[in-house]
Amino acid sequence: MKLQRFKEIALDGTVRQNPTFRLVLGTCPTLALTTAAIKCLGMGAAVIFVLVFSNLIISLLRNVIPDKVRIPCFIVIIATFVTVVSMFIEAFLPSLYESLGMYLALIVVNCIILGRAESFASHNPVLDSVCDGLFMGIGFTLSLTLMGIVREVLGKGMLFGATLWNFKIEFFAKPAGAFLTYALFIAIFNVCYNAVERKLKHKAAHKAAVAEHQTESAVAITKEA
Amino acid sequence: MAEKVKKPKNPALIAAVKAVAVLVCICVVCVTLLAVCNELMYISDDERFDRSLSKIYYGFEKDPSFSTTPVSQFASNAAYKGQVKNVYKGKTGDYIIEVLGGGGYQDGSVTLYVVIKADATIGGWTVKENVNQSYIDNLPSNAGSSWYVGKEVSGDLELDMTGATVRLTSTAINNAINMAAYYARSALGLGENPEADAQEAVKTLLGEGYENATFTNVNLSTATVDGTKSVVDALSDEDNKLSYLFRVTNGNDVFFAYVYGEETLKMVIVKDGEIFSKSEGVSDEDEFVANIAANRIYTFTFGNYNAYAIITGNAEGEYTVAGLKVGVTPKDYVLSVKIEADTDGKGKVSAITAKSNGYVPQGPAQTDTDKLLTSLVGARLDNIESLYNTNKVTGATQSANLIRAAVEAALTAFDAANASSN
Amino acid sequence: MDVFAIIIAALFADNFVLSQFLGICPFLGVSKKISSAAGMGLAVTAVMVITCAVCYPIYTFLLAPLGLQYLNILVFILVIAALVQILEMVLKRFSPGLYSAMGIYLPLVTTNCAILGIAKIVTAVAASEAEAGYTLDVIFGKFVNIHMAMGYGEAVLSGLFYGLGFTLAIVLLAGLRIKADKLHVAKALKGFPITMLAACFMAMAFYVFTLI
Repeated sequence: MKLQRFKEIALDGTVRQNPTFRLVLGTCPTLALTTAAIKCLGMGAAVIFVLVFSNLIISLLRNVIPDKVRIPCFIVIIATFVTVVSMFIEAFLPSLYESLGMYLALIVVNCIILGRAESFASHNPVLDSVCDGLFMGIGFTLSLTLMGIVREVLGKGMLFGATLWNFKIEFFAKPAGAFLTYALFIAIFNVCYNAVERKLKHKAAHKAAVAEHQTESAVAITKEA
Repeated sequence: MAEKVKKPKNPALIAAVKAVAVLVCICVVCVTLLAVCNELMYISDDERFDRSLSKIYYGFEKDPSFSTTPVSQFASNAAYKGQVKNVYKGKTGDYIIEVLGGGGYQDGSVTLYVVIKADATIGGWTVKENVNQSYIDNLPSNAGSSWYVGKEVSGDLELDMTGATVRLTSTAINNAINMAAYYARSALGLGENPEADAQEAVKTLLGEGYENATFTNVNLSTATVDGTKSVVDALSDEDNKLSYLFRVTNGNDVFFAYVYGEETLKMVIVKDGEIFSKSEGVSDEDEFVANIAANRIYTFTFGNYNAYAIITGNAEGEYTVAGLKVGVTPKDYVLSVKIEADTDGKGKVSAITAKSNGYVPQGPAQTDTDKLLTSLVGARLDNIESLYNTNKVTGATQSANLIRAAVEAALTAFDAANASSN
Repeated sequence: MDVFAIIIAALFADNFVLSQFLGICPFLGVSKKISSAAGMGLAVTAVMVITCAVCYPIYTFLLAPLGLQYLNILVFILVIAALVQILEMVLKRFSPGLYSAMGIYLPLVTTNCAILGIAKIVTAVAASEAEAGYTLDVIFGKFVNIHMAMGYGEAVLSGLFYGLGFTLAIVLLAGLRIKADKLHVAKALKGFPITMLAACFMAMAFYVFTLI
């Protein structure tokens, strides 16, 4: 895979098509689990695992699976990896298993996973698909954890389970607080994203203009000469 | 010669078969993978137990020689609507009791693991499961770890759940903890045990031949007899509050021992409705002695358990009877049974009303037990069994039996009173 | 279990969308118009009821006795996908009116976590009876109102009322969005953020029911 393509995929997954803030997919765990940052990390890790492996297998089988039954096939593959990861967490990280509750099982119906399988892994080469899964997962984990940190600090006065201070605004730990935080995060992310995008475009335009000017003056110089 | 015609292949059919085959193959592979994973990461029941406990007790090692089945005599107690399910002993001498406590929200219950330390204090508790306690998650989990910790199991524990906003669920938890404490002092011999002391005193009073008598605590109901008066109140007076009522038997004779008082124990032992023996300091003039003589207690055996009926009042043929059951689920009835003399002078029930209905609210068979109350009107001592058998309630056998016990007790009392007056 | 308790819990206190965060994607995505919101709600309710009615016996009488509980996610999701397909075909054939009202939303329902959620809930509560030593809190983490043993009728009823709770929430949100569309909002808040703010206020109102 070319470096350029790799960069493209990485940037798409984490920023340009950030599943949480840009595509607004996988909203259920985002709203439910951001009460504590540690839950977000656990959920993120589980999602990365499932995304990478389901993308890998689906991409490998993309020429075998008939079009008519592709959705059931994807679902079975995804459900298998979700079961594996939930068994693993139950066996080795019981307290995390307890705190994630049924949202762990609900990774199956997380739109990000089926969405990536359908729109990317099913018609892209294996390595690309794995990278896509990895970076989509990382994008999801980062956004979730960021929101988790904000809600945990504000709502509980804690960070990763350690008490920071006694001041807390319980509203942020409640369902309504989840909606508010998410809304503000999307708004802020979009404002920043658009600003950066505009700047980059501007820069590119400026560069092009400068280049044009230089060629023009070069032409002028040659003319003069 | 019939030439075999080569059928043209149906491309749609082939595609469909291929699709199904691929799907089935993927399913089979996935299921196999999961079966292997399950084999590798299976969690045993023992491990689940350890995990539940790890929140309150780190490194509990079971003593395998200790039987986890609770001693049946102390396994339940109506006062706490409680039931001990399992008892585990640790190698360090600490106990873990899995205990159910009732009386919660929507008359539901909680099941807790309670740690009772070897020094007879509570080491911690955690909720294992619950029935109907919808708002149990409102209990702050970190505060819960300190509630009750360090309290001695010697007597009844008061509600110790500061800041818990779930009042009825807290009641169920308090009941469960008290049930565990009761079991610890009665069956495990931890802490002080006033009940055992009372039993010793009764044995001493009965004298020789009763050293090995078996005691059953007739858990007196808190069901109301009249307005706010409970069954215990009906058998007590201002100075003498009934603490225990035991059924005592040495295999031949059956006694009822009423134990009063807190500092010095006062005891009255009754046999067949007559006062058999009294402890020192109890004079015949005492009101409660008269109470006991008037309030006869009857025992009825239904299958594996005993039910008791105590007559706590009699106003011109209208008896107030409390039916109490000793067994797993406490369901007490207090009935008002009106009895009139039939043509031959024997008692006949003319009206029954429930003063306190012990049936679990919203239970499926409550209307049926209510029907039983009306169908026993007209019963006499000689036909109550057949009347009961035609109208008995399936699905609420124990409640139905308690009703029958109470009515039968009232009839017996009426006939006995009439026979003596004739 | 008290039927009234299920109803109040399902509609308000434990509302799938506003307090359990299940089925958020259609909640945000298909709530532009009241008619489409109602169609989606109807589809979700119908599938939930059928899912409960089918998954409960499959789990209790097939998976649990065979010790195959670990296959539950796989089996449920396949069953749900199949049920949605069948329901779509049946509606198309026998009730074109209903099909035009909710049919187009049916394919979206397969990947709705509310459906898998309700299947997990009704079966896990049933399973807790059978599996001694299994802590219900472990299965659910935070589902407050449904820690109860469920029978078949209760399972189906839960499906119905949790579905109606979803419908209630999504239709209310559609109403709010129509109003919000007429407001002048900052550009950054347009689209998802303003919808979520509306949901935030609804969640506050629904939260009151958990305090009863």
